[in-house]
Amino acid sequence: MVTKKKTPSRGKRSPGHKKKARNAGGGRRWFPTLVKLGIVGLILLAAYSVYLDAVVTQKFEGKKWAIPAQVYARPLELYEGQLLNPNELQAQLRRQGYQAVRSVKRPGTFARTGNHFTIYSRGFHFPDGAESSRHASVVFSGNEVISLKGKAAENIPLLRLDPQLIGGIYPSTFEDRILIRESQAPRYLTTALLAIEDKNFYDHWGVSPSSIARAFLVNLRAGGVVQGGSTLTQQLVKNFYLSNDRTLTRKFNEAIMSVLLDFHYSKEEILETYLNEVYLGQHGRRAIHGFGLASHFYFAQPIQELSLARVALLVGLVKGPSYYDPRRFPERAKARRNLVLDVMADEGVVPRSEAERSKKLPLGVVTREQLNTSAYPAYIDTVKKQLREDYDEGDLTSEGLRIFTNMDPVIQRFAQKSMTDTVDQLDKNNPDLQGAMVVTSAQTGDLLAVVGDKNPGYIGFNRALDARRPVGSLLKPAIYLTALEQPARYTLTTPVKDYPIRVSDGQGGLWEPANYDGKSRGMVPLQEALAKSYNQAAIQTGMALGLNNVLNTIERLGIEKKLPPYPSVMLGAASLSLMDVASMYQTIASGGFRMPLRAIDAVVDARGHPLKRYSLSIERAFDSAPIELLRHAMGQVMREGTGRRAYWSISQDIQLAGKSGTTNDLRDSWFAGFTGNLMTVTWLGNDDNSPTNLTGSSGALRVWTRFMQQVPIKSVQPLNSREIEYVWIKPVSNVRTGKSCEGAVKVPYITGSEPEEYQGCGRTMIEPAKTLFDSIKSWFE
Amino acid sequence: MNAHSETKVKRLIPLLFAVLLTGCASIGQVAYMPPSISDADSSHADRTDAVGTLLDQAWNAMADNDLNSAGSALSRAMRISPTDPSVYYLMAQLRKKQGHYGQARELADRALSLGPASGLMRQIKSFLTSLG
Repeated sequence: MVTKKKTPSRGKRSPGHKKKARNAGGGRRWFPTLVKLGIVGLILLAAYSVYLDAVVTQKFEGKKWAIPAQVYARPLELYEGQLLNPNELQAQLRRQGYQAVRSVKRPGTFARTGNHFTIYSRGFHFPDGAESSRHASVVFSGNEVISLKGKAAENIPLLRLDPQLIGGIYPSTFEDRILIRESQAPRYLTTALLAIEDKNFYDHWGVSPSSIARAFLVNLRAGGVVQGGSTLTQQLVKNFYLSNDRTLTRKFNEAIMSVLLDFHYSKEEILETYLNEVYLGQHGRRAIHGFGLASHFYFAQPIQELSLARVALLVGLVKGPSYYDPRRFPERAKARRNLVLDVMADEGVVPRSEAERSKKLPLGVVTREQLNTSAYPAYIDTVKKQLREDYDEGDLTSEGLRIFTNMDPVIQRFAQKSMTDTVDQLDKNNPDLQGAMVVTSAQTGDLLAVVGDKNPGYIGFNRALDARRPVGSLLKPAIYLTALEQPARYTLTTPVKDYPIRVSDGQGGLWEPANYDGKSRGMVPLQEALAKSYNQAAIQTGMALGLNNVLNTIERLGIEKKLPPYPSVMLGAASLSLMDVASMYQTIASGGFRMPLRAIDAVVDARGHPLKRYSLSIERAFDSAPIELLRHAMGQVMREGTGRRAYWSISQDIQLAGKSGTTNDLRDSWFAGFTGNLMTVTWLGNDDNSPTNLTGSSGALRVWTRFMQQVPIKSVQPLNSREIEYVWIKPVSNVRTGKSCEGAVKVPYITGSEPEEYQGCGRTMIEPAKTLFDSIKSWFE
Repeated sequence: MNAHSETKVKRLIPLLFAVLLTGCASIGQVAYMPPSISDADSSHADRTDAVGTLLDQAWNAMADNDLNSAGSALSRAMRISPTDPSVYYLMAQLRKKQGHYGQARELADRALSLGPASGLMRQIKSFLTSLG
């Protein structure tokens, strides 16, 4: 348009003066045009700069990044009397990036001599406040902590370690970072970074013409791009604001924005943003950004603890995280690291001797197996599910929340290992065999471990959460609990009918359940019917009690899903998830109190302010007395019934309680049970629902037992109930007897429900009514 | 049998106490009052073990009305000793202070089911009565 306007004026000049006019007057005529063009250009440039300025400041001053929520395991607490294998402590310290050293001088290090550990713990900000870093000495005797002392040999009641980071909740971009402040950066990080990437950082205005000129000459000589002239500010602008195109427009924008950024913000602010923005690696779909996260990703250590050699490696990675990937190309990475160290020595950033010493060190990168983030997908999955009830997906993936979970890393590891090892052993005949497992704290419902697949770290179908399978005999305890709540009719030794029975199948036909071995045993004591898992006795008892009453008990035990009202449901025809089964057995393990299974302990915001605590909330669902009787019978399952295999490898001194479950044609193998401290449900089966050839006892119980024998367990303790009396009994004939008589067993009864008939070791007699004196005397027996 | 007799003997103790206290009451008007957070020292102050230290922390936090800290200390104590009735009892007291009377009752009931010693049992029962 500008040119068009000028064109007509040319025509007014005479042709004779054409050349002269062009030569002499051309400059004069073009000059104003050029000036005007220049002014217009400048105005446009200014306008464009104003626009770019808005872009630069808006993003820099707003929320710079979406920060994924970080998920932490339960912290390891050490105290006198704690049961923990010292090797497990060492393994856990290593998983958390604690460095084994000879002399413990700084946080994040430890030393071990036999059973004696010296640990310098890291400080950490927990939801309930800051825990400071601490120098402690821990002594074990066997698997028990027997002494915990501070630096001055003073007794310490408790040492709470920083929790292990076990994963994150990522946005669809899978961009992950852990923010750090410039002041948190280790001693050499920024100096090394500037020595390598931008020597004149503190002197230039965002762009460095001399660097560009130098790079231009080098590239010209080399005949290609071998050196970039970008300042750190330009690199930041490129990554933070622009695409990765190598176009001139992009370069132009980059230069202007760099100058603007440098004009608006301090060098420290720019540097800090760079430290957090820079791309430093890839972990599957997850992009590793910033030095804070890179330090965890490569060394499993917080950035503050990195040695010179490790800092140099991270700085070396800036140039090309995939080309210099220390896991895939260790030699290449080492050469790059050593180059960085040399440059640092040349620039006088570190003494030459220290650089040389660091060059001899190994890379120190943890393997992907050691790298624990996303090693527990099934647990993280459960956490996400519980979080989604309270938070938006957007908040979880962008607000930098910190999620403190109840996952116990030691328990989780043993749970997964027990599953993997057992399935490996069993799958010679069935390579597709799969499994899942849930472990909770028996008394509080804290969810300690979730296994969703036989393979550790498998990301995909989470069988613990999402598989619904028929549960077989796992619902039988609900039948007998319904019975035991009626002490006038049922006790543990009441004979129940193990006879064939026909009941409605719910589809207009009749259903006739059989026992596993095909035999009916006539009248059997109730607790034996449960221990040996007789189907006919269970259905006979259930029908006598009323199907709806049994279904009501199942609901009170914690299975909220409505089950279809068919008798076959009592024998486990209904499909449930492992979490459903765990809820039910939790109520029994905790002595009749219902409670949610809690994966999350607390959530805090990015500034450390607690948003929500998920504290214990309980509700009594059953009286102690009938629950205690049921627990006794479930103890018999383990001593004499379908769970007895557990005692092949667990000490007889430990009181266990549980129940096996097997479904038709051996398609599902279940075991659910508890000790005094842990409640565990295990399942084995095929995803295509084909037969496995495993019963609950020959399959899932093995996983359960293997797990329980490896972790510290305590006996199930009898519940305190004033309504319970223990009586010596001959169970087969359901009569009282002397404790020294053959076959006599001590059985708990709800007071008043114990059998009256007495049979001595040889003959039968009716016991005379007890006198007050007899009662008092019996207290002291 | 021994455990059973022990329980019975334990049950006698409160009875004997009650008899003694009734006697005292008639002479000097002394009646048993459960200790409350506001007017007593922490009964766990002398303990140096992990759970005792956490109970003491929780108790002091409650006295300072820092109920969140008290809750955290009790959760930690519960992880270490999940069958200790005194942990559940103190948590019941905390819930009462927070106005959650239903949970206070459930937790006190839970404490009772875990077999507290006679002195503690008396306190818990008195606490339950105070909840109405």
